[in-house]
Amino acid sequence: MPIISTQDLTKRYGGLTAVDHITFKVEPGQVFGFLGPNGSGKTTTIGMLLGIINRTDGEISLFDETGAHGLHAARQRIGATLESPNFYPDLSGYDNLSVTARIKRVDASRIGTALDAVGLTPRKTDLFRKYSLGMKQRLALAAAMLGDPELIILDEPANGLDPEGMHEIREIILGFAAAGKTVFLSSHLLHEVERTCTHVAIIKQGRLLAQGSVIALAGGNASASLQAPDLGALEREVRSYENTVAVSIEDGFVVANLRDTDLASLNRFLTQRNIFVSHLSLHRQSLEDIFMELTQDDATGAAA
Amino acid sequence: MRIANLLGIELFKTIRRRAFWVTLGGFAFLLVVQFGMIWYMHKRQAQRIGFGAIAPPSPGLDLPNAWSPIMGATATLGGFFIAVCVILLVAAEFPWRTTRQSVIDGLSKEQYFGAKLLLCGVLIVTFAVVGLVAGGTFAFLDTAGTPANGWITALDWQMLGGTMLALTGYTALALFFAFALRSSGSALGVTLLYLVVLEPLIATAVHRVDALQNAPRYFPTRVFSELSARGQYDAASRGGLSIMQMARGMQPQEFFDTRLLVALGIGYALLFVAATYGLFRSRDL
Repeated sequence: MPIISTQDLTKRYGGLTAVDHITFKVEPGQVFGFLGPNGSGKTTTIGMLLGIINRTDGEISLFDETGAHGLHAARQRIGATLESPNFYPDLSGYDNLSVTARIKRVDASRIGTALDAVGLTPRKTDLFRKYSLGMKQRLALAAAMLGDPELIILDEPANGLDPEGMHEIREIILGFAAAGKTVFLSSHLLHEVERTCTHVAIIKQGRLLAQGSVIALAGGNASASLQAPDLGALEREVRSYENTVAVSIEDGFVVANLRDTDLASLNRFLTQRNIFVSHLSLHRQSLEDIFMELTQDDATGAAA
Repeated sequence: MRIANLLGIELFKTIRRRAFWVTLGGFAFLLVVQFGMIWYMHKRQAQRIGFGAIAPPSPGLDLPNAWSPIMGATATLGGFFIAVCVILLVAAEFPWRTTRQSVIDGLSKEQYFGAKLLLCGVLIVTFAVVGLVAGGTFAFLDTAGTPANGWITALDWQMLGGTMLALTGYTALALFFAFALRSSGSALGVTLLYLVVLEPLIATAVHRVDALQNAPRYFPTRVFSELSARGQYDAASRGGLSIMQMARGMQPQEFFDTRLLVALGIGYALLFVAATYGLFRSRDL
């Protein structure tokens, strides 16, 4: 049973289609990254999932629940924060979490645990408006984890943070994942998503361009660099390897685009043909490479 | 979610909001000044009379007659302050995005709206009690002995109902502008504009059309302000007022049928609440 499932989810504002027939699934235990440039429709999609933006078309299923009442019940199992942290500026961090706890019908004793988890206990009596951005983000995470939700949805959790703040947030998110929670996070920070997520969906201008596991997306576009005394023979043999997609010679290396990342199998294949390589390395595409490739392809396609 | 939980959430937030204490305090202060002055003047006058000074007798604040000005002030002054209070408490939640966060955290839109209605109910009772206590204290001090016809009469209870309904009407109007405009500043500005400029302007324009000459009487704020007027409930006072107005060469004031007035007050309050809910339900957060 997927935790989140959408079918042709669409949101139109007058003539503008902000989200265009998006279909995706998030399975239990995944850390799912929702990637896209600013204004691509990430927040609108999350808003529809959370019931604060009315969808124009399409279906949403949360914990296998559909329909207004089912979705409302399912949303009780979610902890989420959307865009900037949303709290009462003249209430302390503790009082703000008290409001959240009352809404979630969580015992007040859990507030201390949540504040401890994000390192805000020493500043819990300070007013929210006096918090730094990093502290506000951490308070939002504490609020999201109150009530021990099964699914945590975070919208741009590292937005505006310095490297130290990003590191702290990443550790907290990985802590959620380690505790077996399903995490759905949107971001335009590709390297952050790559370091945190197991699965991603890439969205641009409201349309879903790709989705899958980070390994599958990156591994599906791996390349190997090889070197041997006889480059010509090496190139011929690599070309005949069954998982080779394309081969070229660049700067004294044979560069092969492969369907998989099993270099041991490639090396065995070459050895059996008396080719003994002096260099063999794998270059897996980063999420950024994939993202740029997909979004550029999309732009080219759109222009064509 | 149970009503008690929703009310608990709203009260927890409200008693920590400065806007609530400032508006309630401002309302109480003005009432204390107003009725304190009347009480003080009456007291001084009594002392001067004691020393043989010649002065017209002041009615002062003797109970139960004093309930009439007290409730009138509670409805009009309270109506203004409760409208400001509702706008500051409710509209500010939109730019802070705590409305959307409340829904994200698990309240349905209906529950969120219901919680705001409960808050409005608490504010209406609070402002009414503060008004009655602030005015009533001076009236109690100004009343010599136990009044022959009791501290409070059946007529006063009727006026109290009207006062509560008037406060409800102003609250519903403020709630509508708070939800419609989603910003404290804009909502305050538009509400004041409506009360001070727009409705009187429309009333003047409509009044010039022969067939609609009586229509301005039925406008929301006219209805709300009439709800706490003694003449609406007391035939004797109505008659006295008419005689006084005619003696001064004025057109005697027209009064509503009480049941019609109450029905209009309830109708307007429900209309504003329904429009607010419809708007809230249909718009994204």
